[in-house]
Amino acid sequence: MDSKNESKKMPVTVLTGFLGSGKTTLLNRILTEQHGQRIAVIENEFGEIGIDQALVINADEEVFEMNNGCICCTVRGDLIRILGTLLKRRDKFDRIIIETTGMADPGPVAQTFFVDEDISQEFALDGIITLVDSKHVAMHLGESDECLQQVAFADVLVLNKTDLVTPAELDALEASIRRINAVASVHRAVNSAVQLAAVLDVGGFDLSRALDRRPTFLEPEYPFEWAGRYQLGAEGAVLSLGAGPDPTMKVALLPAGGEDPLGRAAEQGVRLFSGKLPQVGKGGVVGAGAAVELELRGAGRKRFMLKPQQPGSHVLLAQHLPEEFDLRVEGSAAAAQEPVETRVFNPEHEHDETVGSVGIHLEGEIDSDRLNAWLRGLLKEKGNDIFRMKGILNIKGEDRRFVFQGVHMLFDGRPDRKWGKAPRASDLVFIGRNLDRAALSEGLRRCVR
Amino acid sequence: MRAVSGAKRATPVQQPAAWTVDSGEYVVGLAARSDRVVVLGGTGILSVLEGATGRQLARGQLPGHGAQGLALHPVLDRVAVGCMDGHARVLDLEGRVLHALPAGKGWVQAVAWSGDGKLLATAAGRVVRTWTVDGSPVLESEPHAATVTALDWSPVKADLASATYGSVHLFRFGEGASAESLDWKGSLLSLAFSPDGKHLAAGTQECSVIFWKTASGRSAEMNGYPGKPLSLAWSPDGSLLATNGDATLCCWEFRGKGPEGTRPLLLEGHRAPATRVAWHPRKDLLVSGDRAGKLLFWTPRLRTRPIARAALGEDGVTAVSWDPAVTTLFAADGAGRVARWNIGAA
Repeated sequence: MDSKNESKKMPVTVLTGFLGSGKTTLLNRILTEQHGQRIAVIENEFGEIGIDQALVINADEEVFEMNNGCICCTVRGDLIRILGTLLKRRDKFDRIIIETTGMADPGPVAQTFFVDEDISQEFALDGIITLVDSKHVAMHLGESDECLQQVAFADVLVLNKTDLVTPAELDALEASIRRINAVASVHRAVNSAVQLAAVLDVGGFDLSRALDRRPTFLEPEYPFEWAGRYQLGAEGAVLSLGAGPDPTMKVALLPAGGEDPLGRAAEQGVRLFSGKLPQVGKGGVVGAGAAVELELRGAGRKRFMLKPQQPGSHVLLAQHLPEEFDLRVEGSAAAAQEPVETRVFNPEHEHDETVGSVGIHLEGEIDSDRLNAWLRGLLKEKGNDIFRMKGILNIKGEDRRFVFQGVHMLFDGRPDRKWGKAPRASDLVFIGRNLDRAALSEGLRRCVR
Repeated sequence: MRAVSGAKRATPVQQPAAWTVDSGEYVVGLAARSDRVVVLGGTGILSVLEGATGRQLARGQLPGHGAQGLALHPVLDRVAVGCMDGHARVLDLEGRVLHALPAGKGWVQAVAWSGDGKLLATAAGRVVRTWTVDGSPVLESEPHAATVTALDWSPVKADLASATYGSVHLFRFGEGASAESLDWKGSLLSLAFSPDGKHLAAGTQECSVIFWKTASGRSAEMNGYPGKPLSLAWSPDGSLLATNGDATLCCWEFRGKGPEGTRPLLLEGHRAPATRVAWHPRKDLLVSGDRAGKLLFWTPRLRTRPIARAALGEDGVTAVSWDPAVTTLFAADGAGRVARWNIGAA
């Protein structure tokens, strides 16, 4: 089949988000802003848009099963039909925006662009934009699979209605959303006011941009998320914590040393955090050289003593990000003490029924036959649980980067720009449910020859 | 494969177009009769050309931001058009709107005249409606389970078929109007009754053709297409069904026990996937257009290689229409070209 050059395909943006998250407001912004683009909008029946300069098409969300009901081959039949018709007037538009209903699973929308050859030849899924109601999303995430999937599928997450929550709540929300989807770009907004460049021409493929945003993402996982270095006097300091998402938090205090004191402390910390840790109640002491579990149940801030053996530079390792618990280190006279330096670590994922991201970085050239065989087997077995997959691969015998992305069991790849002087390596990201990092890493590693 | 008559691998005769004109936009439908060619564009521009010369006689914009589906009345000089404002419009061959019929919510997906010309069927959203020639409503169906994608009338009986995801509905308007459904798990996108009304064929999203025997409801699925076989054309005697879905055309054999267990005729000649197939209404003469703008002419019962070829342009062929009175073919493409060929003269 003759396939069009990616750049000649018409870009399609998908807007998802729960009812009340601000999709329609964002859509109206996109349509009214002076960007010189002609846009066709495919929206669900319940939307209310009255924009003259755009073609608005109402669609019934018709989810079809293809290939004898394989759940991963469900597509939006209405989109195939409507996009097929829009092709007949493609010189009238520059891009297409699809707005989904609040309860929509983004899977079938995305899969439509992989399953139907006529569609995949003419249209490029530019990005899935998910709007999040910052005030209510925590509740929805706990109760609704669709909400979770909308976050997991996103290329761009807009935390909307930030004026309704405190900065600390917002930080905590972003952190918890990051745990589900570590590669999406995150924007904060009030009244859906985001730069159009942030939501249009996203280039869902662009993994390198995602890596720029979150440099820790492909690093090994640690049993802690944060390290901060403090200068402690002989009298020590007070560690003060507010209420957070967990009733306990593991911490360790380590004397700083070496050229990279945070990195060295992290290595020590991996060992210290393993096993069962002694519990410390409020007012208790965190001594240098050991990890403890702080008891944070109950109302009000909890204070603990940080006790160094010697005065000097120390590294505090914390299981969670400081903003999630409003963590403060207070010196004399209860004055907050700023860390000399900090670092964020990629936290370990618990392998339960949660949705999260796994990133794998691999040196060495990948054999394309082995890769295909591995992916086929993997997706056959785990395709239901793998929502999205993106990667830049270093394929043996290819002077170009091979970029690919997938949705559930479907994947699609193409050679991208030349490696040139850039170091050749493979980066692969999975977003999904119940992902086994060790098995995925090992599987990819076996594709290297 | 069948014996090739005449010289082996003879180069098919190149047919020059009698005329070519630019209609200005992607053509979604063509209808020809009485020296008139009605050309429907994707944004709803309807032009009427003089058949002999290609000269433009009328041109107008239909409401609704677009149109799809153009059906020529079997007897009267009028056409029906499905518009995207939820209306089907009936026009005369001068391009004048005679009736605007409220077909339903959303786009009108399909329009079709009954074989006797007494009824027009329209599909919009999940609802099928029928109308008299004068534009009076006759029937409104219950909403189907999903959007109706195609309509076709049985040529011999007053039976109307509507396709949707999961089934075909058969509305029997004859003795004691009734309805029944032919189920198929999958997305059905096009429909074609055989000339005797005994078979119904449907092209699917999953690159297959389904056949039903309309009397018993027995079905069979024919697989193996690389693309979607959505253009379905029965030979006038009903013995072959030509289908697109690949560069090689596949003609299913309906003589004897076919098509199950029989080998289809495979017509090889296109270098790009075929987009349209259309049988001449009275002759063993088939035309096919492809994505590269090429047209090939076939006599499939005699040979499986093309007998003549023609070129429209470089864009995909989107519509073909025979003028049944003479052996004249009109074809159009995605760039708006419309051209005429006089096959009988070659």
